Amino acid sequence: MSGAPPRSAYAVRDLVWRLGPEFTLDIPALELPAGRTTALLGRSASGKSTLLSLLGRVEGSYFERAPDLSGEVWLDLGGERLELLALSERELLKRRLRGPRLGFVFQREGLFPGLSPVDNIVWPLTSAGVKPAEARDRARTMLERVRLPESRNVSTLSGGERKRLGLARALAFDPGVLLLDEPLTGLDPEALGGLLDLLAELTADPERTTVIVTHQREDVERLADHVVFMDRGRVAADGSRDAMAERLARFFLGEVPNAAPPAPPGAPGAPGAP
Amino acid sequence: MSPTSGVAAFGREARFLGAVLARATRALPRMRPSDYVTQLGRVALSALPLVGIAALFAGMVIALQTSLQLARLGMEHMVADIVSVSLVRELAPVFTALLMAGKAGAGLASELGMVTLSGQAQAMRAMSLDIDRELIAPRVWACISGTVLLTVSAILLGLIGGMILGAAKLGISPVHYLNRAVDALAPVDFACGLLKAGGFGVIIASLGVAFGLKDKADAGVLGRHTMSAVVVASFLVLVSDHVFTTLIVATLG
Repeated sequence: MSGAPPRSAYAVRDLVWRLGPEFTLDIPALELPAGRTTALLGRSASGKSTLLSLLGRVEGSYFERAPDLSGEVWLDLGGERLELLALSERELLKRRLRGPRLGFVFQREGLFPGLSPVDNIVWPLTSAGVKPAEARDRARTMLERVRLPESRNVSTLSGGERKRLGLARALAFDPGVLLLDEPLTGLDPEALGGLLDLLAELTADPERTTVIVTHQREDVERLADHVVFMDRGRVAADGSRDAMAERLARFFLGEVPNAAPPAPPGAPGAPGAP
Repeated sequence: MSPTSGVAAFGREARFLGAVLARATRALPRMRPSDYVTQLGRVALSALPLVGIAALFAGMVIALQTSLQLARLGMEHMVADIVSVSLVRELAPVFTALLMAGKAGAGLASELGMVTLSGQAQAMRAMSLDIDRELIAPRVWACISGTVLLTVSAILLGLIGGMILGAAKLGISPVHYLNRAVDALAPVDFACGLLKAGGFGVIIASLGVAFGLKDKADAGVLGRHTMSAVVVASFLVLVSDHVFTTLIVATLG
């Protein structure tokens, strides 16, 4: 983790999303290093999951582009650079970007209750063109890795088991970019240890970029190379984990870094200022 | 909901209505026939007893009311003619559509509402699963064709209802009743009724799907969206009935 600064997997530019009178996501510039793991930290409702949803292009409604959303989110897939916000839902589907290349694990898992755990994993894989036999093999391997029996009915899974299935489903694609929204909360200590080991192994791959939203110190210590602190929709501080060591220590003692207030209209750097 | 707020809601939802129909049409070649058949069973077959029994009783009551008025003119023998034409052109499509708005429209909005609320729709997007093909197209086409098919059964059962009333109360023999009913009907009557049924199906399906897949924060919103799907669809069925009828009469005579 030393030497030349790494290439950026994500570059966010002038991102503004007004989500109501109380909350605006406002990120003038942010870079997330490629091949590394970035932890998004901050209070609840500071915009971490909102930012993550934009990085994965699963934000807002299916029928229309989110209103009051502007700016650019560039994704560098190594050889291909895409501005994600410019892609329509149909273009995203055509490119099969989400799933095979951009894995997303949701806080609310979004499991398919009518399907078995194996089929929850197999359906997205076969839809993306993986042969059924191979998809089943991959599904079984993933379920084994997250220690979930195949025979269970999805509607009878406990909260922790649902988390594990959600994780297994996203990981089955072996995506180059992994976006995790609190993947390890609500797990029993035994499952947590196993999954943390699994995530540590997956995120150690220098070809894989991971962004994880978390509140847990252990996730940051085991997984993160880079840290972004968020506060009220803005980035309060970001940098390598080593550079942020002191802030991290204070953060886990309850001292959350505050973002600078937005520049008043007309001030240099403010939107619309000359 | 007052008519004014119904019109305002229509304005807001009109673009979703168009968006759903466009998506369902584009996804039609990709749709799996088995998905369509499954949805048709859920939409049409499950509503058949409801629509059938309602149509049977509607046919009887219309025959009764019509015969009372015709009796004053001494023209009771015309009852079959009037009942059959009004059933085919107007009552069966509108009755069926209103029942379908309550059953299929609410069913679509609540089922897809749960898919949205539980995060399945978002997960489908995140894994490049084709929502148009998997969720929208089979439901929309099943609802449209289901409304037309149920209208046909409502016409048949409504005619039988009239026939029963005619035999029991007015002493008209069933064969005579049916002969008169069939003679009174022209192909244009069926075209008028079934085209309207298709149009109503479009309204019910599009609104059910659009309200179902709308972003929702909690189960309270799901309930409100489901109610709106039914109220706006019922309102639009009654308003568009006049528009469709005017257009069809102007075109087909």
